[in-house]
Amino acid sequence: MGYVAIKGGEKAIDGAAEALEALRAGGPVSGSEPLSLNAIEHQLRLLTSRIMSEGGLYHPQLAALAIKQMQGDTLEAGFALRAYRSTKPRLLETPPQDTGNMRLIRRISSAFRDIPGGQMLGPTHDYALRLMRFELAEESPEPFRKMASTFLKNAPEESLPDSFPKVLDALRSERLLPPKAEHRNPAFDITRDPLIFPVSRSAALATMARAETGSMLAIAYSNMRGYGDIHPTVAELRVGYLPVMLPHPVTGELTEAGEVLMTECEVIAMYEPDDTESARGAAPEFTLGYGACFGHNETKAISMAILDRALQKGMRDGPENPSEDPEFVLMHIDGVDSMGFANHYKMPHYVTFQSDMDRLRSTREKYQARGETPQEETHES
Amino acid sequence: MKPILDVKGLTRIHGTECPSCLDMTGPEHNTNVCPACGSVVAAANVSFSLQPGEILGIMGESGSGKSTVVKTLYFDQAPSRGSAIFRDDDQSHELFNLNGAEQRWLRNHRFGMVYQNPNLGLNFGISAGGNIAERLLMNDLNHYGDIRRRASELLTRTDVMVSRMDESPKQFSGGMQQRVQIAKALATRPPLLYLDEVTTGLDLSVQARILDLILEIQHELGTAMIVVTHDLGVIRLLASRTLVMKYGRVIESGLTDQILEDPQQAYTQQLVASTL
Amino acid sequence: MNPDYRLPHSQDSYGFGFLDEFAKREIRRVILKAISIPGYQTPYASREMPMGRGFGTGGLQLTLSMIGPDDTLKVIDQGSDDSVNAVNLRKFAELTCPEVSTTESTTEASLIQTRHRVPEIPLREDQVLNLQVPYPDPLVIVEPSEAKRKIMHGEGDYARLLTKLYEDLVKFDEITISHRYPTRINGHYVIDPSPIPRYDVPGLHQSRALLLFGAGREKKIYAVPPYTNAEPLVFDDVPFRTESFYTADGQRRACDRCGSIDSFLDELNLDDGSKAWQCSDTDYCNRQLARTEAGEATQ
Repeated sequence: MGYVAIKGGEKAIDGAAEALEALRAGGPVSGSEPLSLNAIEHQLRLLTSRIMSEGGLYHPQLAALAIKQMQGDTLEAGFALRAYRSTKPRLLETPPQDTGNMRLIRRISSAFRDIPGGQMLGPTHDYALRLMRFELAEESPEPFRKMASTFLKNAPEESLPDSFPKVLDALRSERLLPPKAEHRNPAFDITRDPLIFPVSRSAALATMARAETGSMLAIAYSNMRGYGDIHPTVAELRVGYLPVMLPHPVTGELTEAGEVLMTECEVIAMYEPDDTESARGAAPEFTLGYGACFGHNETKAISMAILDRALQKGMRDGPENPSEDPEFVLMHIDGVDSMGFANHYKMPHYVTFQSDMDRLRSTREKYQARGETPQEETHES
Repeated sequence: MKPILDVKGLTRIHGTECPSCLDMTGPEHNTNVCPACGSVVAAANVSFSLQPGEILGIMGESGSGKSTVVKTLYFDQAPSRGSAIFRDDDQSHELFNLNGAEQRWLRNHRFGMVYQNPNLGLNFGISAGGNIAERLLMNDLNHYGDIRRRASELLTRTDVMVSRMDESPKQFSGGMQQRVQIAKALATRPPLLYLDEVTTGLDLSVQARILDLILEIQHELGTAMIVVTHDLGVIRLLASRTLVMKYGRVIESGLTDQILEDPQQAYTQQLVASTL
Repeated sequence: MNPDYRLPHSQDSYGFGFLDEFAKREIRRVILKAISIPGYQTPYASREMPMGRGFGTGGLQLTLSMIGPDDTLKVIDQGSDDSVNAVNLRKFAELTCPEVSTTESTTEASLIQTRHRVPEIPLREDQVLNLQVPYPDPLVIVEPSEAKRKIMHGEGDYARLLTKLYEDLVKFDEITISHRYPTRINGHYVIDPSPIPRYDVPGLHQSRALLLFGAGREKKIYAVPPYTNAEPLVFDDVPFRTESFYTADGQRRACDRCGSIDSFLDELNLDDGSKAWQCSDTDYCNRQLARTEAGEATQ
């Protein structure tokens, strides 16, 4: 018999890193230039948005670096951001922020034709034709830069509104929606406390806010298609910059510390019978679903709002569909967890497979001892 | 002898419940839905006692609340109010004051339940013997050979062929599924058994054999039982005393013979007349 | 964003043990709780580590939150110090815990992180074994809801798990659980001992070393404290059986490298179509080989 080497892991890992690095540089034939973080952050802004939101860290430059380093793999890039964040202590907590103060670049409502402040389509692909624009294949730098710099140049300052009233406030004043809760429990911090089911709505919202877009879309879509019945109307979807207010370290006064680009979606769903104690004798009202995430990511915000509404129903009445089951939804939408585990199957499993073979062999021996031959051996070949 | 079970004022209301719920529902109002708040009064002020070894019948149409009574006693549902004292040897338990763990312990060790729908009482993913094994394992019987023996004894006793013990009950006929449920319920020799419409939907000859089996078990083991049914024939054969329920209320109760020979309430008279 | 902001230029910003100190303190608190309630799956806010979930992030958080400059660390995967994942984790520990020494020797290590194996050489009281756990809950095969499983664990209700063993015996005349064998700790909680082979389960019983289990993705930590009972779940009349390394004619297979006949063996398929058998624990194999060679030399 031959001796099988049990050394070599270290060398293999180093080799793999080298090969990966060579391909990051485009490989021997591409003649690529290195990507600048500036180009990634600003030109691949939707990708950067997605990485910040799934990575749970608002840091456009680090997100751009992660995209570059991970060669465009969104799951890996979000993961790198998360791992970086594990090394940082939590220094401060903000009080709840008011998204009514957002400096908007886009806001729409599909519930009303006109809304206070007006509809603002803003930068969206919604009505763009998905035709390949071949002229972009060879773009020269001058018109490219000019496009960016002249936009809004001739628009008068006063025609650019700062913030807009929220659509839901109008419905609240008509009492078609429940009033805002007076008392708020402190927000659940999923980075500091484990989810122990049943969980609060705050914990569910936090988990969804940094969930993987595609996973959340899939479960939300199951609800839209019939494994659930939320039938939402988008009361308002807004994209813009939210001023982050922090207590001043000395005076304690709320002070603007910066701003973050966010997408927020509020959906309205139909009223329904409510058997709970607190609802006793109350008039029926519309119900709400809420979604919000870092960056510009409308698919994620809408999916989250629908799932929030579905989960509230499941938390109250017990889940009737996967999308209403908090444990099912919240344990299966984290990209870092699911991607890591799917990939771990590539690791050595020699020992466990040895155990599996042992069980199968013993079981087959018993079959044979009883005079029964396992089926595949009786086939004529 | 003290009753094994004393139930007082057992009430179960689905919905928001308002002060009018009890006043505006019941047989005299011909509804169990409260007109003021829309709540459903499934059972209201049900009281009775059960002697050790006795079979009590609860008769009524669907929606009368008869199943609600056994489901609350078996902890499938929580009552809105009421009390139930279960006397087990020299211990007595106030069923609705027990915590979840104590309730599950009684359910697994001292009560047995046979549902109309065998899906509720049996796990179709495992064998008939496995269903019985599970209940024996809950009772700390941990010897594979003993479990096999006891399971086959129980199946033999309930007339299920032992040769089919290792098959899923999914493949069994309705009557046989009920026999497996009965075997499973009896596995721990419980002093109290609940039977919810166990023969409904079965062929007459199958029904008769299951009812015989239930009587034999009562004679052999002295198990007290509550038999819920809409079938007067079942009541006549099994129950020594009977409650008649309508719209969540007990409208008549007494010795079964007396109720069947001389029903006092118009509704009971109608029930008895329709089957004679 | 502040226009003057610049990203850091190196990885100097990573502190000792990678995790921030608040996180380490929380994990140490959870470890203490886990030791106090042997076998109880203690939830914790598992942090993201720079390697994939499933690659040992749970075991690594245990290791990094308890390691100090005086420790000697050994990392194994499949029993081997040189398997790719073991190398990777050890390199990471060396990078982020600069003063810590690492070793491939089971007896020299104060802290051992492992995946899928318990070392063959019995551990001592001054050693800690951190096992990497993919699935912490043995009840998951009979109950998908974690909320319900918590109640079952609390009440020590393992009847459905035992029913699964009963069904195995009915169908196959064998318990088919190959690894991750459910094991009852201190007479109450049943744990998933991580994907170690059944061969390693008896070694958990009355272990002199503290055994810690970390599930990073599922966010649980549990412990088998020293000198604690660890009993595989079986029937009174069906003995627990470990993997057999006997040939058809009843001969115990030996390691083709060191000749040992008392270790867990890897089955290797060679290029010429034949099979070879070799110790899965490389440190043990090297020791046996050294001993044999020394014996030969003195003769």
